[in-house]
Amino acid sequence: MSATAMIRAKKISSYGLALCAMVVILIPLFVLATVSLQDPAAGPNPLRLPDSFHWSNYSDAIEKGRLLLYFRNSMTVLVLTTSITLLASVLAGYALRHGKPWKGDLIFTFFLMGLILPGFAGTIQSFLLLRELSLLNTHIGLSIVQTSGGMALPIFLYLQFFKTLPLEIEEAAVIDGCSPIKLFWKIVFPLTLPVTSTCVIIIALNSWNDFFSPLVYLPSPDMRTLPTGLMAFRMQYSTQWQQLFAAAVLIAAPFTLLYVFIQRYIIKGLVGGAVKG
Amino acid sequence: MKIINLRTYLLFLAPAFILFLLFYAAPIFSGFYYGFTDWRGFSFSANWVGLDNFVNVFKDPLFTTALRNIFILSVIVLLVQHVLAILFAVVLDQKLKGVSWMRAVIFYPAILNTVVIGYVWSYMYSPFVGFLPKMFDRLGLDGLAAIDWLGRPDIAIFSIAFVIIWQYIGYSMMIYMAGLQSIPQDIYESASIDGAGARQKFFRITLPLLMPAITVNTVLSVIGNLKQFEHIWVMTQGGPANSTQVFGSLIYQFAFKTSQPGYGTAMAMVLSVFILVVTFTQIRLLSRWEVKY
Repeated sequence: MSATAMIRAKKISSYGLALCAMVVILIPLFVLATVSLQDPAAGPNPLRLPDSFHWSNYSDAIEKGRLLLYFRNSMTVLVLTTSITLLASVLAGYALRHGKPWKGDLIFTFFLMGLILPGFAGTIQSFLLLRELSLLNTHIGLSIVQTSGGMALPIFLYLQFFKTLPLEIEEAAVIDGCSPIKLFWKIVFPLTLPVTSTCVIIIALNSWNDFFSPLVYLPSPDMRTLPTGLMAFRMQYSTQWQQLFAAAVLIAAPFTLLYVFIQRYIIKGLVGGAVKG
Repeated sequence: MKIINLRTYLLFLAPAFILFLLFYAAPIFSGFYYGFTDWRGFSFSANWVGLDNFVNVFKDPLFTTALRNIFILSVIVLLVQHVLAILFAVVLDQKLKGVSWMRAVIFYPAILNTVVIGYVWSYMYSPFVGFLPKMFDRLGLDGLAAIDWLGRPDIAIFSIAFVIIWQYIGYSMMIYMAGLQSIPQDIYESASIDGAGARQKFFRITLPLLMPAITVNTVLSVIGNLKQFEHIWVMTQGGPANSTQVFGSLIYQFAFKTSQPGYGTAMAMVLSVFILVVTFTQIRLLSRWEVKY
């Protein structure tokens, strides 16, 4: 085989492989979209496009599934968790950067357990603790739990970032008489924007998709977030695939839309976090 | 020069430290106490029963099932997901038309909610109305069309393993791709001049230099599978006939369904120790393969 023919064969097999992967990934998503638009009165048919679009599946799902309520709950938790986690981890990362090295490592190892140990190992104890503090069944309580289990990676990312920051900037500010807190907010924090946006993506996505903690710490039906609310919806209408799928499309929609527009940053954020971790 | 004094240091560290200690570390570590008690879980009070719970855990057939299942999940994911992900990473690292979109599509399931994924795949697998039975029926493969993928105790765990791979293969692929991009190109060039073929380049250069990425990626994935709860709970809840139970689902059931939290906590402690041992061993073993350049 000539060299050009070989390069060509390699290109073709590469495209072939990529195509196969895409088909396997896309088929379930395609089925999700088509069945969500099919007539709820008939049986679902994954192999056929809908004859006419039954958008009413969506409005029915929103109404029966109480999706607006769950959306608001999820949003509240997402905003709370993201802001608490960010604040706690940026401050801790900065402190660890300037603390004594061995102490910093020791404390960091302690936080690292948050990545390795299964959070559900302490579930009942946390449940009782939240109850004692009257935080059970509250969104702030859930946010605190999500924060405690999700800080390890942001702290690590901030710590790594601060290590690359030249000390001269901060030293100059201190010499000029800047207070530590002012130095942090006015000079250091604005520089963390790239790490902060990575952290926001990781924390927000984890919070939005979290299924286990709302299942345990928000027992009241009115407090449910989208994942647990959707699970309850399925238990109730287990044979109504069309409406279930409409609800599923709606819960996937916000991050999917974001993904379409800023996928490069989302991928970079999620992968970068894992690679550096 | 000292940038921050001790007071500021403590002030900055306090929020994260207190939150982590109170709501993450203390609950888990207190499990080492509660695992030795007859704790009922309605309050913090409990009576010491010694090793009873741990003895029962190791005698429990469900424990063996959970161990078997997380073993199956970890091994299948290691072999199928990571081998394929390395292959995809190498292929999609080339300059192909629309390659960034292909990567984005393959990555997409990683950002989806487990409940959504559970919905879709429950339907894909579901007997009579689902995609797989209908498709096999259309193709005339009656034997395959009749299989209840999530309903048969002998295959349900494998069906779930497939879903996990489907969701995370793109994620692994992107991590390997980041690893590939850190390999200096001149090594390949000098290898070409020395007459190395594509296969030699892959096994002698790419794979050894990809080892750091392989370590990170497989360690994360094994930890994730040992902690598995969500996919199982959304698709089968440990059924049929307990055939897909994992530690996550068992602990949840012992804590909240059968109110045997003392026993569930003992099991959680066994799992925690197990995870620490596996992770540590895996990192030691894999880092031995890492080369410096």
